[in-house]
Amino acid sequence: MSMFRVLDISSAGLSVEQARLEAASSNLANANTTRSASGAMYQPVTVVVGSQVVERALGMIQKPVVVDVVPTNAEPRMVYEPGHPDANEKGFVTKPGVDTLSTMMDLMSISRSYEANLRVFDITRTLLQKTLEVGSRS
Amino acid sequence: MGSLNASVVESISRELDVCAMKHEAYSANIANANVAGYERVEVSSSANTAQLSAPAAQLLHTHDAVKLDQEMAKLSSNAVRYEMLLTAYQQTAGILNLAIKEGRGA
Amino acid sequence: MTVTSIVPVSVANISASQMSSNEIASTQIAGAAPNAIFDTLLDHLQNVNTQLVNTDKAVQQLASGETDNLHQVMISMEQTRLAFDLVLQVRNKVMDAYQEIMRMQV
Repeated sequence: MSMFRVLDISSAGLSVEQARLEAASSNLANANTTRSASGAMYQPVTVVVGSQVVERALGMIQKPVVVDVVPTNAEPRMVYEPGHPDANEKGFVTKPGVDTLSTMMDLMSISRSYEANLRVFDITRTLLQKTLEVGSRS
Repeated sequence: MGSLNASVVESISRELDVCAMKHEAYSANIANANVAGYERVEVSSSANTAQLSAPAAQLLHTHDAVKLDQEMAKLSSNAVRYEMLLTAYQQTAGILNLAIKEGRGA
Repeated sequence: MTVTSIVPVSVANISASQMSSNEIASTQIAGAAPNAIFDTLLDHLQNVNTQLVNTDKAVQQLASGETDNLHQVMISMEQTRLAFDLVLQVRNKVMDAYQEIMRMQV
């Protein structure tokens, strides 16, 4: 059963990476917006990931869990675009405080983690199948 | 008659236990790699020889963060070892079966 | 040269008091040999039965989700099967031998 627990742990990892992916891609996509449908500005979000002890596992085994998706409260950026309809009197437009470069780096790490968890899942499945084949003869 | 290959099977079975535990530890490390402040766990090396009567005691908390590539490499080689042990058992059982059936097959 | 004659030894010449208790016991066991084989067989059958019961328990635990080790269950299933096979074959051989003896013309 510990193998089945591993499947559970890996899939938890996949879910977490997926949530982070959604947050990162949402931030990137909305990086250059100036207002939303309700008039307020886009608030970049970040995913808070915690660890949860896996039940009936060896004591210290934990799996990652999405605790919350919260706004980052990052300072909005001021970009100089005088012709923009939302520019202020000095010609600066307020845009969401998204650091595109570091978000792109995040995407790379998310992708690596996702692939790693996927490989673990695959390997575990293979090991389980091999275990079930013990005793069967061709 | 118990089992003619009992001692071999006993040691293979114990090694498999250790491999399964290690697999769980490595997988958890990889899954939790991006959790802030997570410290990797590992199976103590004395688990190879000791009786696994208290499996929880064999799990160590290190104070290192997870290095994804290293963890992945450890998991892969451990998985190969697991398969190797399974194969070793199947061969032993196969030979015993051959002896019992006097070579007349399954 | 003189050839010393060989005095024929018969059981009558040896008094019971000269026999050690071991010798007495061994002649008794020699006389009871066929039963000993069946007893041994029964003994081993008991062992196999115990193994079967334990394996059954292990499979039940697996079904109810309590167990930690799938590989343990698989290995013990295979071991039990081999042990049972062995006892079966030995039993067949013993039966064959018995029947052959019964067929012998007296």
